[in-house]
Amino acid sequence: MLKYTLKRILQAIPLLIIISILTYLIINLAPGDPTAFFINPEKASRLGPDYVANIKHHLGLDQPLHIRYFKWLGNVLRGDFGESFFEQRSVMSILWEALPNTIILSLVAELIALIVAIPAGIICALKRNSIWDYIFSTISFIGMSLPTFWFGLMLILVFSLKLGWLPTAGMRDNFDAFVFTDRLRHIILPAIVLGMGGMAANMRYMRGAMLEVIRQDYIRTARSKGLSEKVVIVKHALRNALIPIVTMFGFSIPALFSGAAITETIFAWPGVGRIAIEAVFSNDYPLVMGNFMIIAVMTVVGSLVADLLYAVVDPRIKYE
Amino acid sequence: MWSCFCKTKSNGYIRWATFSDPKTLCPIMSDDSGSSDVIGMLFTGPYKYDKKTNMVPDMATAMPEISKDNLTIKFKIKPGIKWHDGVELTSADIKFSYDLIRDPQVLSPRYADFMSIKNIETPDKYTVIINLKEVDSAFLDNLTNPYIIPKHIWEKADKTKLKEFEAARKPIGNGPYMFKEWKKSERIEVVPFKDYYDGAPKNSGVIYDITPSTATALVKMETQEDNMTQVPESDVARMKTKPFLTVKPYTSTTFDYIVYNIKSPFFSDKRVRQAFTYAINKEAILKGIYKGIGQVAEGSYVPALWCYNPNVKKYPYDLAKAKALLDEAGWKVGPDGIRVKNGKKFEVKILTNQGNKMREKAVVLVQNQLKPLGIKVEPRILDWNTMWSNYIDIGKFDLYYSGFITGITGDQTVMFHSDKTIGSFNRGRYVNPRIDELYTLAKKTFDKNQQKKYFFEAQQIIAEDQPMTFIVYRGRNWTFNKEVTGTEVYNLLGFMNMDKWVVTK
Repeated sequence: MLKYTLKRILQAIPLLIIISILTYLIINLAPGDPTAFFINPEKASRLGPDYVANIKHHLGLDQPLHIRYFKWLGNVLRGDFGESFFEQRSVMSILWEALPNTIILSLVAELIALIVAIPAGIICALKRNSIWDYIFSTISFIGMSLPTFWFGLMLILVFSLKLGWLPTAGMRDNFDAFVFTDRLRHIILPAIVLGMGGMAANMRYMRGAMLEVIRQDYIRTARSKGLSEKVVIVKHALRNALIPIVTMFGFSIPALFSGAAITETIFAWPGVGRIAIEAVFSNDYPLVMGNFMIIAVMTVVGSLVADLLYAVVDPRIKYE
Repeated sequence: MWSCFCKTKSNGYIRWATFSDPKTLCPIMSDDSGSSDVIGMLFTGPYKYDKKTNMVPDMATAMPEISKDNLTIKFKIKPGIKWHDGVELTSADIKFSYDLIRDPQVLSPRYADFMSIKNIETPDKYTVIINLKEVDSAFLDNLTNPYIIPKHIWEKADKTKLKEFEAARKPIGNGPYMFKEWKKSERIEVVPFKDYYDGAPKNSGVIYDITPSTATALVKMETQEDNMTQVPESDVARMKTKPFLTVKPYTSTTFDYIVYNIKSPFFSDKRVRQAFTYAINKEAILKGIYKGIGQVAEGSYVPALWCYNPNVKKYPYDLAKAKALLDEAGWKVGPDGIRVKNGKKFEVKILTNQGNKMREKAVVLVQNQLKPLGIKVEPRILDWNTMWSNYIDIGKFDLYYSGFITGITGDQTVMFHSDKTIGSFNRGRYVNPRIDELYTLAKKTFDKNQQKKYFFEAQQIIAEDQPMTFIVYRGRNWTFNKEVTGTEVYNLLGFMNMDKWVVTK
């Protein structure tokens, strides 16, 4: 197991380097010029080429792309992701400030997703082709296909504007102290929006896994021993049916983070996703790179965790 | 607690919903509207504009003295003006700040505005003397901006990294409001400064509530979570239906216009450009696309401007005149209905930038309006940067639809001067030696009446030449919750005297 883990971590290194090269290339080739922020276009020609060259030099953009990449990589290996072009603050301090907010939102979203998906999936499987199965299946298909931004706006329209129950956007009203109810009512809508996709998918997985498990011989054995239906389902069937859900959890981490970009933007949630979107729009290369590398690392780690968890929950799987 | 869910109590605060996320609170480095909004509450300048856009003293004691050769600007500031930390503001702070802007290593976005300064002298604590390299009356406008930072704090900063310095995130200013707290991407809170030289603000402070979009900002007005925001044309009608909101309109110096590439074979003849202006139904565009908010434009000078000339050639919608002018210019209708001259068909592309819904619709309307003339216009909607760098900046275009914001000084050299280094926004490469001369003359005098004469003549020439077709002057609107009283909104300037407003709840 340890050997396997080490092997996977070593394999991740070239993967991350390739991802970083591709990302670096793409953002540098994308239209737009970060120097434009420093030069008022009305005055650009008055400033002369020296001034523009000075800005380019200051931002490190006067060197060829490959040199810039290797410099960036060298700094990253020393733990330095550079400075944001426009805030002149270190990328890491910007991201560290926002990361806890994103993590909290993602965890609550995942929690909501699981709390709904697991029981609903079980009901669908046990009462297959019943009205409940159809209702939950329909909900999960709709949930999977709803565009996040539309769903978010609809929730705001209904719960903030029409009913006035929940705040429109933001993370808190009380800035002086941490008030649990204040935070709770702000997190409800964004967490539901962010958790929707995962909830729908998990419901389908749960249903499928449960259906497979309850047809197994050991379930029939358990029933024939005269165990109550509750014990059969919860103790014997559920534990085995949860395996795909546990694995899915690892994979859902990066998905939550990339989905958070849109949700955070709609609900004015001060997280890393919103920073990523703003950084892309303003061509803030160092900030974009820092942000994307975090997502890349989390994807790699997430899939590793998923594989390891798989071995933990399913004794049939062994990594050598 | 759960019953009063939504409505956030204002507690006497102005709660300003915005979608601009400020980048820095260093007045020397800021270049985005979010930063300027907040800096405008925390800092002041030597001068300011009054309701009628006259320049009047703010920190200064009187209007600036200009030397006979027009090369020296001298003014004094009031004694006893305090920074928010209690230290007195002196001429040394002004010199320090302006010298930073002038330093090319600082990379200030205002560098070009201060290029005409030779040096700055401070003979005593309150007197500032600015010596110019060349006469530049347009420079005066810079004295109305809040660009002054405290020397005793900022002299410790690395001048190449001003934004990184602590005071760029926790600024010490001299304005009516004091900085309290900035939560990135969430909000900025400012509170009254008791020792403000013009009297402490009458409200509890301002919360600059940062939302991700205009849509969210408007919803926050409807749910009464916030009590002031700017409303785009498309939403004015909706805001007006709410009994607890007031909408206050004003004209800005912003307009949308079409720029012709005068070096192209289609638009080198002014009769063709005049024909286009006759054939474009501006009234229809204003009503259909800008929801009737704003005004049909005749030129680049907004009617509210002090140097607006009403007596220039006008181009009321007239298809017959347009057709006649095109015939006269040699563009005859061909067998397929498209006009032809020397074997070349009148087929052009109109560019505009992606993401601006109104412009995207407007170019289609222009396409339809020019069809009956026998002119084929193909709209091309491009990414902002691509449009400028790959097409317009290198002269690879026929015509484009865009917008422009002018200053209120009347100096519009950047749009019309034929020298690229001066008329840097003359992207249609319009050349008229008299226009160049007029704008140069206007810069060389500080006499407003003289300037007015030059600007009047320039407007007449531009109306005749039509290097651009001006479509609409954009109408702007602020909406306030009625709990905010005393709000004042003026043409060209927007809202004013925020510190005098009172929030009743």
